[in-house]
Parts: sequence; structure tokens; C-alpha cells
Amino acid sequence: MQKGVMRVLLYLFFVTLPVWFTTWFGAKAEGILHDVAINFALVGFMMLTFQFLLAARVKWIERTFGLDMLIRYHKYVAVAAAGFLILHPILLALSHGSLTLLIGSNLPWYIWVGKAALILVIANVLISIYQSRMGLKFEKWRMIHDLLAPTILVLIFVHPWFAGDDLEHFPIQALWIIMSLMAGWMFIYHRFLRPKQLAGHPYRVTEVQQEAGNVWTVKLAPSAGQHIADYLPGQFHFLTFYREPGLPVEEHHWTISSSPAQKDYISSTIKAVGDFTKTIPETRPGDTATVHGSFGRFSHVLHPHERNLVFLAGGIGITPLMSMLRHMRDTDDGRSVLLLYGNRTEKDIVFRDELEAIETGKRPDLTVVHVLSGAGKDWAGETGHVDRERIEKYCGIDLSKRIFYVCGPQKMAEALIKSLLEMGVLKSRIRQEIFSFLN
Amino acid sequence: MRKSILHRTTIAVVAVLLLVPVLLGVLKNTVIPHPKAHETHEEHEAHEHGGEDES
Repeated sequence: MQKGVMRVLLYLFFVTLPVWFTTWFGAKAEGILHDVAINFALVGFMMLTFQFLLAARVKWIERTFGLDMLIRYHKYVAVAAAGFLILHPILLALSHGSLTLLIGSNLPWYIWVGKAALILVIANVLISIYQSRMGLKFEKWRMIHDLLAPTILVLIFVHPWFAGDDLEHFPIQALWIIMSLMAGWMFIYHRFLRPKQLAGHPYRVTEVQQEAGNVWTVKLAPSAGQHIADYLPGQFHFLTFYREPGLPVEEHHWTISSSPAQKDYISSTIKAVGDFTKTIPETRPGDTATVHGSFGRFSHVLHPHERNLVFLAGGIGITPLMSMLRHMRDTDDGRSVLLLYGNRTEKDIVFRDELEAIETGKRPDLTVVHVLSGAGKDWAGETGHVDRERIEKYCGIDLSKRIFYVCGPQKMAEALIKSLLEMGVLKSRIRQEIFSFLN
Repeated sequence: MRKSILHRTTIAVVAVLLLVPVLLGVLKNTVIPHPKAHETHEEHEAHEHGGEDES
């Protein structure tokens, strides 16, 4: 928590640094409206350069907040930065008492560069927000994002360099160059150099196993002389598969389903539902993959003193919880876990036999309750959905000592969290990972 | 819950990022002595004197 606050304060310090600089070392005062307009542009520039750092999966930042939260923050801040940059020309025009800057055509080239930057920032933000509603596939969106981001960086470097009086002063010039180089380096490292480094030590697919229906587990082993990097049960990683020609090569993130105590392989259990994941069954032993990770803070290991856990899972949402249960089994962890696991039919239940085995082994002290929404006539267990009624039935009314881990389809997770809050569970006792970065 | 912490943090950060530019913009135009202001004053005076000399 303290580390998180420190990092947020550092962020605030650096993002506002050029404003402090210009106040004391910059151009002369030209009226409050004019100077606030300039300050907003400086802050907007710094926010955008920091966007490259936030998105680059830097461990030092990620481990405090979790990558899901960082990417979400990256998204919110992009909207705020766009707001600051929109205010910049409006306030400048107001301070000059003329609309020429906004609607005039006879403007210097560097003003047009600024306008182009602003249009691209707005376009980038809108495309990211409405990506799914526009029917834009993740890979295509990412390509557009990767083209727009560095273009914006160049434009927002050039525009003030020629347009602003403040950039004539050395401290601000130096800061401008350093921040632009940092952002550019982060982009190049994140998108080109690191993937190349990872490809130098590829993992090998050792097994592709059908768990249930369209759910597959892919096991990966490190190349000779390499070892699996430490990870926490419940975390996720980014995988890029290199398979037979014709199969797509794309980077996607999946939860790790294996236990960190297992040192020979690392596995992800994947539901084949999307364009890419439908090709997972075509993955063969001997294919290779790059592994980048691990990320996330959805893990019981981060809270060793909590002994009374309730796992609320739906469908493929079982995977991070399974990693935790396997880790508890492997480390002889005797804490109490109640798993309420929702699926449509019996055939959809993933890891059913292994869950039973863990339950029988009493390490952890696990109780599994399957809840089926489309159960057949033979089903003697719970029917319906994992909901408030089921939670009250198996956890009792007093939930104050329980810690809830929620993982499943977004609507289910949201409904469950709403129910838990209505039942008086403190927010701090509900854990959820947001696996879909763009939602 | 982490999501609500994120929302609160984002709102606080954006509020600070709004306030600092506004406050420093106001301060720059009111109380902060600016080296350029002195320079400008001298330039202005020099210009005025130059103007007088020329006339």
C-alpha cells in the first residue's frame, strides 16, 4: 500500500515537473488563461509519455498494482490527457480573444502539427473505448494503437518545440528530450526488443490435453538449460505460439493453471471460443511458444494469514483458482476453501476429477459445490446459478470471516460482487482479477 | 476492492493534475517573481530610452 502511494506520488511529481519548471524558468507570464493553457498542454504531454511506461509491463510498477489495474489506469488517463490537450487550444484562443487558432486556416505549420496530434489522440482514445462495439478485433486494434501511439509522440514533441516560448529554456528542453526518448525507448523495447529476447529462449509444447468440451490445457517446458521463472498461483502470462505454417502467430494472455510447486512445466487451460483460441486444439507437442510473465495480484499467496476462503467460479474462470488449489495441495496447505463452481452442464465442468481428488485429500480442506444451470435429469446436485441464495446456503449468514475470490464471465462476476456487497461483505474481502484488459 | 481503489486513485490523480497547472498559472501571473519579468522591464525601459534618444 505504502509502495503504491509512493509510486503514485512519483507519477504526480514527474507529470507536473514541466509546469514547475516553466513557472520558475520558462517564458514570461502572459496572463492567467494563457499560462494555464500552456500548463495543461505540458501536463497532457507528460501524461502521454508516461502512457508508454504504464503499458510496457514494467515489473517494478506492475508488481505493486497488478497489470490489469495498470492497463485500466492507462485507459482512464488517456481520456484525461485528451481532455487536457483539448482544453489547451480552447483556453489559448480565449486568452487571445480570437478564434483564429481554432478555425483559422492561415496558421504556421507547427500549429497544424499540434492539431494533427490532438485529432490522433482523440481518435486513439475513441477507437480503444469503442473497440468491441466497432467490431474491431484485438489484433487489428493493437496494430492501429501501435501505429498511432509513436506518431502522436513525434507530433507532440515537434509542436511545442517550435510553437512554445517555454521550450527555448534549457531545463524544459532537456526534460522534453528525456521524456520523449524514454517513451520511445519503452515502445521499441516493449514491442520489438523484448519479444525478440523471449524468442531466443522459447518454451516447448509438451502436451495438449482436452479437459472438457472445448477446453484445452497446453503444457509448456522451458528450453534446455533454462528454468521456469517464479510465479504465483492465480497469475497470468502472455503466450505467443509458433506452430505449423498457416496457424496465427499472435500474443494473448491466459491464466496459468499449473502450480508453481511444479517445476517441470507451466500450463494454461484455454477455452476454444474466439478466432484464435479455436486453433488451440491444433497445437502439437514440439511446437514452440514465447512466455512473458507472470503478472497479476489475484493470489492467496499474497495473503498468507487468510484461512477461510470462498472461491466463486464460473466456467473457464476456474483456472486461476485451480492453480491456487493445486499449489495448496502441493505445499500441504490446510486452509479451508469452499468452491462454488457454476457451469451449464456436467460435460462443461473443467478439472472435475482433480477437484474431487483434492477434496478427498483434505489438503486444502476443500468443499466443492457444483451448480449447473442446464442440468440433466440425472443431476442430483445444485441447479441454477452461483448466486446469493447459494452463498447463504453454504457460507451461512455471517460472512465477516470469509475472503471471496470471484472469477468467471464478467456479468456473473459483477452480479456476484453486487450480491456480496449487499450481504455486507467488505470490499477489501472481495478479490477479483479483470482479465479482459479492453473492457 | 482493487477496482474502486483504482477509480478513487484516478480521480485524485486527475484532480491534482488539474489543480497544479491552474494554481501555478495563477501564481506565475501574481506572486512569483520571474527572472524574465525583470529582464522585460529592463528591455522595456531601454526601448523607451532609445525611443527618446532617437526623437
